[in-house]
Amino acid sequence: MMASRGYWLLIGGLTFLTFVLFVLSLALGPAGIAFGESLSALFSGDGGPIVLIMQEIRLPRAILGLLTGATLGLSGAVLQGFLRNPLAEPGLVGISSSASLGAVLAIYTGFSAAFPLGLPLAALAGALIAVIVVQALAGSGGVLTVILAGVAVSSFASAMTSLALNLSPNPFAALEIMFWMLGSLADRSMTHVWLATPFILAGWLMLASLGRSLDALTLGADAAASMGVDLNRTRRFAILGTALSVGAATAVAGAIGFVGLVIPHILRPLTGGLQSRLLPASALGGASMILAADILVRFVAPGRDLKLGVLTAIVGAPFFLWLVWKSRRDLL
Amino acid sequence: MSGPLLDIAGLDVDLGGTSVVRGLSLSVKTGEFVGLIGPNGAGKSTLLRAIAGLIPVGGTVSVAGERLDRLGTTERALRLAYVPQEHEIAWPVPVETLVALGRTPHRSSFTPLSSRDRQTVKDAMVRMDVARFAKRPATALSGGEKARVLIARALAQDTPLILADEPAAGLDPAYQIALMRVFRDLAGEGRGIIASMHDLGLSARWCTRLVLLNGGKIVADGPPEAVLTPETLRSIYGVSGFFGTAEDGLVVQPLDLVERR
Amino acid sequence: MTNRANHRGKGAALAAFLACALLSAIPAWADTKPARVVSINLCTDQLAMLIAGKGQLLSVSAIARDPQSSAMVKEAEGFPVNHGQAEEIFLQKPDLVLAGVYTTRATVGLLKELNIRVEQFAPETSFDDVKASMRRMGVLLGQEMRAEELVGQIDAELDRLKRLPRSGKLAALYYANSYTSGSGTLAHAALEAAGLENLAARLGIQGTASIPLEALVLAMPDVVVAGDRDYKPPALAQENFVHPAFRALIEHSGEVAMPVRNTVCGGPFTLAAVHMLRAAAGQELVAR
Repeated sequence: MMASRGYWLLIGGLTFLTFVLFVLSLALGPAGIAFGESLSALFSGDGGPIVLIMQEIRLPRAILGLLTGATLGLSGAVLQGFLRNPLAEPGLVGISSSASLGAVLAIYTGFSAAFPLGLPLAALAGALIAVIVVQALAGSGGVLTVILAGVAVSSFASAMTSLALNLSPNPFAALEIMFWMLGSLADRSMTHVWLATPFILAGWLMLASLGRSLDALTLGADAAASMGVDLNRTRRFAILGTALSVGAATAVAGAIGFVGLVIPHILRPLTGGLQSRLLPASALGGASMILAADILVRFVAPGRDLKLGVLTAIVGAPFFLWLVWKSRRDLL
Repeated sequence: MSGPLLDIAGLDVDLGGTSVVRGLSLSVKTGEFVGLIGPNGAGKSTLLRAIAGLIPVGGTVSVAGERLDRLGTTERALRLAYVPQEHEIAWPVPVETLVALGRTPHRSSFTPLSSRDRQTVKDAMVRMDVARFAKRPATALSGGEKARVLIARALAQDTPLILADEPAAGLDPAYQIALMRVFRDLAGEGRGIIASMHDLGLSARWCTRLVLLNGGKIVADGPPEAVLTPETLRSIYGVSGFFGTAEDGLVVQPLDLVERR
Repeated sequence: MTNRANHRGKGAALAAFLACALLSAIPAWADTKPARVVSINLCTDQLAMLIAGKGQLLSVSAIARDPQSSAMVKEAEGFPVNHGQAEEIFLQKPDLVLAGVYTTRATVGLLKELNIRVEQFAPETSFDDVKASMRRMGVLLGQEMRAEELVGQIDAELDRLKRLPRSGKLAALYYANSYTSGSGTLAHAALEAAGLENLAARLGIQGTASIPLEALVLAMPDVVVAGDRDYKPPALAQENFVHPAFRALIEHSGEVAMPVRNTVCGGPFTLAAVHMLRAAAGQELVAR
């Protein structure tokens, strides 16, 4: 409360960074359109190729980058706060890969072709099962239990995803394992934005309402309950909010790891360790990270459709190892 | 205030199929500093958690005449504060921020701390002598410092009833006595304190009333001199003791193990 | 210890048995036509079916009967199929196995170790490649005449097409997964032969690679040549065809579907693709 000015500076800075990256994401692309021309095409009504590119290709891509990144940052912060576990993250604890499995089953059986909402709903169901499993195990064990449960959940979900894709008679299905495990925003459309946004926003609302409760949970479940935190409501909102937002984001962008781990950790010292302040900062930080990664994949290896998860893993995996090394005494 | 501050009637607690507290009834008035004593496994922590509404119970628990099971979680938190035995602090939160968490039930969502909130937080920090490290991350403190910070957090909750599970554990003698003084002062200001304790000497000297628990039942209840006798020490704790008086207070010092009778 | 020795003994016995079986199976192929030919690659399947004499070809790969990949499904129905497994091929006692260069490496290695003659064909990336492959197949199967006849037909048709006017229209090849074929591909050769300009080649793409949808939209090609899209069940790979930007593009450019099977391997059917492309560009197939 005392560091208020610094905090608002941080939020302001992150908002600005996210905005800049969002605009860059709109302005940069293989088609090489001039900056001013590209932005004015966003608001133009004529059906020329540049307008088409801006409104139907780059805009949905940038919006999805923003939504997905914010979802991962926010849900990572919530999971860490709720489980009081610095290593919790939708990717590591298997929520993303379970959501992928749900989405894969919906798409490759033809279910989502007949019933488009089936895609986010199936991903949500997959995510929901994973969160419930992980949080049930978290209650009884320490930091390591959650991570081990996550390893099991995510290996199983990935294996089932591969199985479903390998069994699909579609000759391309097997190649798409990469998309579902590493995520990509290439050539996504407004259809995906409309499909995912309502679920993502509903999830955000639930997660964002948890700030105060998570603050109190810093002192443990009993202390939090004695301070007026409704633990059942908190649990319900954390589980459902994560499942909704991560499920819908994964359904349209695939599973992207480590964002939810790295971002809250970088931002926690800057937000005074208070979860209610960390949540909006993490959402903005996550959005910046995904937007930046998505800009990079377009230039590091153009034409190769580099997956987003590759970049986030290059940053995230060493970070994860460093965290484990740093806290190994507490873990064992 | 007419009735008792805390009124417990026919309290039953089952944990994992075993009955831990059976048919317990207890009344605590404002101004009382109750020491909850008893051997390990007597049900002290369970009783405190039951009063705090953290575990499902049979029977009724009322604070200032209102049944807790009919109150919402925030309403409950405005009536009683609880300090758990474990000193859990998950994130490196600055001490003053941590103490301010005690104001949670007093604030609606998304409102900043009021000047009254700030004053209460400040008073609590001063009372527990932690204002010196207000800006330090709580996770970087020593065990005793953490314990005091967590008690300050409960004081900041500003409730008529305060429950504390082993609050004196891990404190050096000076801070133990300081804590006892704080609790006594708070009682003097018209609050009720219930603290579970293992240090019989401390509880004998500072509590206004002792409740001796054994096997989930109250076996003795009253002023320290009435509860702590060579007889109860031997039969309940299985130890002999030195009893004396110093500076107008009871002195109890357990001496050696004896055969329980 | 005894156990292991035992196993080794059995292994040696098996090897000896296999060697005997082999020796009896191998005729003197050096100077006569191979009589028991097995093909385990889609492209060699089709070349062999075109060139082999009656009874010479024992089996083709299962994919030769897949209408999405194979241009000669009907012909393939007349042959038994194999699945490219070393064991089943060995049991057919072939005197020549036809394989691709890149696929089924392990199988090819194993067959060679078993002293079976394996001939590998590289994918064709031009009509010259196609003709060379045909001639080589002719030599291998001892059917040089038949091969020359096919090469002659292709040359004649390419010559005829070359004399027709070139439209020079810009065409974009766009397959599932946003892939396209740039220079150095058979599909590119087909576009050229049809008198069209290949967008991917203009953008500097070599071989088969993915093309960003926005590059496609920006170029506004005259014709979009879309590959097969109705693979069942659905996969993300076909989502590029329902992208709103793509749909807006084909509303402008028009779309022609060209089955991938006509250009994935070379053969007379590749010329059919050229005819299709010419027609799509609004050009006559015969000179006036």
